Amino acid sequence: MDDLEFRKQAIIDPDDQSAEFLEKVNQNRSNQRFAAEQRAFSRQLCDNLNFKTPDNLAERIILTQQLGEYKATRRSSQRKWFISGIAASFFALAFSFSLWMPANVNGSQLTTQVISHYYQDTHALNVHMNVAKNNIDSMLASYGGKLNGPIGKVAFLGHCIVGGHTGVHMVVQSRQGPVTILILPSQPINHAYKLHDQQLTGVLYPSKKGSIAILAEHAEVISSTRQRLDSSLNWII
Amino acid sequence: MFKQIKLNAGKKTRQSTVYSDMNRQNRFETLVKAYSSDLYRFAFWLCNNHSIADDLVQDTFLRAWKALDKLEDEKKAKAWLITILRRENARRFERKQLELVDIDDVIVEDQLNPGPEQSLDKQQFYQVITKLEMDYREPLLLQVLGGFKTAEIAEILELNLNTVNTRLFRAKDQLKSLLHKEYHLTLHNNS
Repeated sequence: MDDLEFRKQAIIDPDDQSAEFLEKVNQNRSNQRFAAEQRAFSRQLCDNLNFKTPDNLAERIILTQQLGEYKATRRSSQRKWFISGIAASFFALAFSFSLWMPANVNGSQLTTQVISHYYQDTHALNVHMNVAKNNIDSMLASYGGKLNGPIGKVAFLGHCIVGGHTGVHMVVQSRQGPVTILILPSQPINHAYKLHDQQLTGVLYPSKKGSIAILAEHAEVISSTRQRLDSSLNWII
Repeated sequence: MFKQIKLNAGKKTRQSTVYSDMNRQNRFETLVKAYSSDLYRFAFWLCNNHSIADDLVQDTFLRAWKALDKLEDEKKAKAWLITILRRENARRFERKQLELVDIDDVIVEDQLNPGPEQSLDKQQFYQVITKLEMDYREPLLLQVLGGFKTAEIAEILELNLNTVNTRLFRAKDQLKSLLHKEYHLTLHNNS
């Protein structure tokens, strides 16, 4: 490598690690200086090209992808749903909702949608992701929420779509088995509803932003989970 | 007996499908978290517009999700995503003619709130880099921002190595001369 080739290579790739280039760099102080100048210029370029990207960029991408998936799944399953429509309506009737407060139409619809979502997404109960708190914070942040304290070991975390609105689907491990939490910031309701069928029990209640559903197979974990969640979950927006 | 075996087999298949879906989703989310910021910066310096950069990154990841099974080597994930993004950018040009923006009117969004001197540098730098031809800008971004080696850049841009080297050389040469000119212009204006 002659001097001209060296200088050209130093400009093209100052971080070249080839033996030939490194040997030329160390040949004299002038070459060392020239290579160092080119590396400094690259660093300066890098500093100027870097900037802080928008908050929640990754969350928004994942949400868009999941909404797309939801639409695709809905399209492909429309025929299946049509066939099983009658069966599904009987299934929905099988649930008994004991109302704590006077009936609210939207709330009643939401209870059905919440339970349907629970049964559609039962795979979430078998996932053991051991989700880190910062992942939960990051997902809640996209809805304006924040956890100020522990809510237990979270084994599953994902965006969900209930009744056409997005929310957060979490599964928390307890001694009595998995507890499903659906945080639905866009679904405000006026009253709390108790949910139960032969397999599960739970509650759907108003939150400061939207509503929250907690579902599990054992009733005793519902109130303790609700207590922990209510004391930890804050809405910033 | 036969029925029981068949049922279990069905259950197993459904369960493995569910886990396969979960793995695919986790794999996708890992890619998004690892590379979305890098891709956003690359997109921004290609199109000089935050809103278009955002759309490009969203479209890139939607395409990546659909084609995720084609990604066999995770080490090549970044290069693969960049290739998708470049194609999305090319489609954008096919869809409509770009609106011409006067470079002097564009203000760089700097969310880090640096001091006035640094802001001035970034603004000048922005104006200079947008003057670089795309043939020179792309390999430069891939090297400096993407951290790719020249051989990898050649693969991504589907060019031979000599062409990439020439473009990188000219890009830096032009950039230095433009920065130099900008620097003297500022000195002149200040005096």
